[in-house]
Amino acid sequence: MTVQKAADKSDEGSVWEVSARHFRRWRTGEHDALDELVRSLTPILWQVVRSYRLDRDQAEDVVQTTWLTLVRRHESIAEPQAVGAWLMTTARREAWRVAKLAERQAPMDDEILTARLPHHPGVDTEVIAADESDQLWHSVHKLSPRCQRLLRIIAFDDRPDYTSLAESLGMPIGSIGPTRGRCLAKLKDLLAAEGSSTHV
Amino acid sequence: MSERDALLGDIAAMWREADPMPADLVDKVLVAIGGDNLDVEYELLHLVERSRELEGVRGLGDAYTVVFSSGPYSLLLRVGTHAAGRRRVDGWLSPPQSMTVKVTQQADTRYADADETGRFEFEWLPAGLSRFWLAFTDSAAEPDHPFATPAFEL
Repeated sequence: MTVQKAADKSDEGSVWEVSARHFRRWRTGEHDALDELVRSLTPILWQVVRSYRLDRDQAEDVVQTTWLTLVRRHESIAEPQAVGAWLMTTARREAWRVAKLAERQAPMDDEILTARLPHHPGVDTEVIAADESDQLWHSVHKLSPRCQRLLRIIAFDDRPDYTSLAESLGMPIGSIGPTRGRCLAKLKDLLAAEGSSTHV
Repeated sequence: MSERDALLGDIAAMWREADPMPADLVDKVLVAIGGDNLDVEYELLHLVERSRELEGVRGLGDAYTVVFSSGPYSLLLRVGTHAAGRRRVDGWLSPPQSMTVKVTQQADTRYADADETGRFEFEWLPAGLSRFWLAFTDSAAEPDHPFATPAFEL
């Protein structure tokens, strides 16, 4: 798990590049390259799909559907470079479709909250780190659902396709950029307020 | 990338920790896209709901239902877990069609038939990742290619 995280971090800038290489190799007949593509992008697809407030079963289904669609429709991707963007767009569209269909929103928050419940006090540095991540957690959850979704998507997919993103967020394309800026500014305000809350 | 806010990296790290991908998701995907089914044209059934119910009769263990759908069709699977590692599956397609049902698992492929009531059963299947394939036997039925579920844990 730790190894996985470290790899995610160091690859963050180049995961799209790596994916394009796997995709190119798969298309030229290297079967194993598809497995590598799945391994490198599934964690990101998971995060993007979960931002649509699907429960875990539904999210798994959407991720699978996305990959099945890739295997069946990959001829439509002209540039191997575009495979990452294509997968993210397909996943967001499918997540949005399922979310509208199901209109069930409740379970997610509880699951995540439960997962975060045990807090073990450790040495000082760990306590400080936990405080900071708690502050971020609380501040993020004070944002509007739309801001939360937008920031989670952008945190994992730094250049999303704005057309499909706008569609699935129910806002005009032109307002994505400004909204993104406003959401980040709001989050920074909330974090600053959390930081100074001990003085109140 | 240069404009990317450092805060977004923190948000990504937070979600990765708070809501990690299920450990077996990559394997599920690989089962779903693997095998010799890639050339087959099929219609994908989507998971609609998965629910647990408690069996009314003692000693039979838990049962749960899984519902998939595509267009006008809904597939209901009732899965009984009456023996360790074994699953009984009662299936029902609505609107009903006569069809051949195939279940593909990592090591196995099993078949059952449904008459025009759209009902079928597997007295037992090994527990594990499975995909269900439905091929209509009435040649006039639409669509003329099979339905397939995603891979899911039976």
